[in-house]
Amino acid sequence: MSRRKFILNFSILFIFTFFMYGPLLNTIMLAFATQYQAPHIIPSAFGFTWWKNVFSQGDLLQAFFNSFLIAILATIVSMIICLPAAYAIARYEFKGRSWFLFSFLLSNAFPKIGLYTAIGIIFYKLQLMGTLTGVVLINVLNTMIFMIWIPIGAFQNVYKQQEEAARDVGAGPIRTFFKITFPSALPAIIVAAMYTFLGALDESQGTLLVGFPQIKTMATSMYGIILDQSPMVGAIFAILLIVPAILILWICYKFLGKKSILQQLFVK
Amino acid sequence: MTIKLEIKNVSKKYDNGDGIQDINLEVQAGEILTLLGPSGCGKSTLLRSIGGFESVTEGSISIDNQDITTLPPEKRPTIMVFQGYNLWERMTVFENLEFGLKLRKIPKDERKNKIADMLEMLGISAMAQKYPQQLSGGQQQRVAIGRALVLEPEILLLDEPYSALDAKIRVQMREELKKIQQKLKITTIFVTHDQEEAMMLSTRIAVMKKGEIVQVGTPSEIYNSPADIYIASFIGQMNFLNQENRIIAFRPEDTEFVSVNENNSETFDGVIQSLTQMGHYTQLFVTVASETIILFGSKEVIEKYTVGSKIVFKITKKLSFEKEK
Repeated sequence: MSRRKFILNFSILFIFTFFMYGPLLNTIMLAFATQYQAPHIIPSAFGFTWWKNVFSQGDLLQAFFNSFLIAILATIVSMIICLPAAYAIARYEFKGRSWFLFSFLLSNAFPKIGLYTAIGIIFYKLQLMGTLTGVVLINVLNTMIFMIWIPIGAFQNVYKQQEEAARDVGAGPIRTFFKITFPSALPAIIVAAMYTFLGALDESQGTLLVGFPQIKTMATSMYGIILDQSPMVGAIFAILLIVPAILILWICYKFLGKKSILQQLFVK
Repeated sequence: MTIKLEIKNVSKKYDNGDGIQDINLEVQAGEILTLLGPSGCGKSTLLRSIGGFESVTEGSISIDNQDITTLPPEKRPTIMVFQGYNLWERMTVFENLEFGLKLRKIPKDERKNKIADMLEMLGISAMAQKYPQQLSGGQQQRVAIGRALVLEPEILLLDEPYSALDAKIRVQMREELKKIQQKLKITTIFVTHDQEEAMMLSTRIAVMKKGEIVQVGTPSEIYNSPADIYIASFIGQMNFLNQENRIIAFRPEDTEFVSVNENNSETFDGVIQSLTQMGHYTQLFVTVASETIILFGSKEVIEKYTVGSKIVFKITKKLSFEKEK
């Protein structure tokens, strides 16, 4: 490799890395700062002062708890609604099947805020505004695409004859699903659940619109924090949000192995 | 002989027009009945209808005089061995065999004994704790048969079970299946497109064509007196010669080489195109008028004749069919 090419390659890598990891590093740095003034790059003092501050704010801890509760509920509800649908789409040919599948993409292509306004009107009528149910529903809606699309592929990969063989030896349709189909599709379902969970943990727009002011999550609290509190609180919050995400990714990685995870992401 | 399975006027129509029409068949207890025909003739559809995987459009199916036409597969006393085996890959060999027994609420000790006996009989005891992916094709095939037999079904259904195996193992597996079947006396329905396999395994063969059963009989009945040209050409080696408005058919082994043409309808002149020593017999390609036929002769024939020479042969056994219009 010529010297010039090397320098060019290195610069591209450097710029890419800087944009990718720069904000992340800055956030981590800010989280452990005690004093920071805007034009400076490096904070003037480090410490845990702001961490103490965050953990003493009761409503922030409540938000932390809410975030997890909503993410867990959204994942469970999403599985209950979407897995049977995914199975039906994977197994049965029916009119409008591809249109139905495509419509899931379409709802994600819409500007979210427009969608939420329409949902808001319905939720007001159903008295779901400001309730946990409403917020969970909004999160299910947002993450449905993962719980439908990923398991469809997984269910299609389970040969129909594998199910027929189970029916043949005496298992009814429900037992066949749980003993044969579900275990085979489990890696994909875990990945879908991971996406749903992380998506719900991070979701702010819908939660803010439907849940405010009764239901506050970490993600919605960020809005207030950024406006009212010091940047260090925001950074600490970001880290609190990112830690469970990394933890879950790591667990999935350990449990399923690198190959399986990449396969579910359609990477060969 | 008791009738185990009775199929009456069964039809199954698919939207694209394929399917089976007006099937009538009786299967005797303890026999191996083969459904033989080319792909797309409906043999698998018929088998799947017996197993409960296809609901029939018309007719009835009964086992031991019990109507099972509308029962789902799990309620039928039949077990199927699928093409490509379909073992459950997340279960060990032992668990594959155990699954059905557990559903039948058989106590643990009894389950263990049954499975051990079955694996022993199939010669795969050492594989009990392995997963299907770790086994060879032949071993997977044995597990698939074991998984079916351990449940002691009234009727064993086999859907081209050997199509994925290579030729040598296939022959070996056929022998094994035949031995096991004779030992257990289990009524068996076997689907294949391989006439040799059908001849070797079957007590009786049902030949299928375009969704219908065209002839049912023992292998020798089918071989010696095929009902029509289609069956004649499908089973074994058969020669056809046009004679006025009829077609005569004869097996390559049913001829005698003679020195003089007696000028009757059994004797023909031909020109030898090739001579091949096949071991204990000689195979000759001969042209009669403009048609090429195959004849078998004794191994000494190759010394008496040469390529291009004239040969006179007499047909000792023939069939005659009307020309299809």
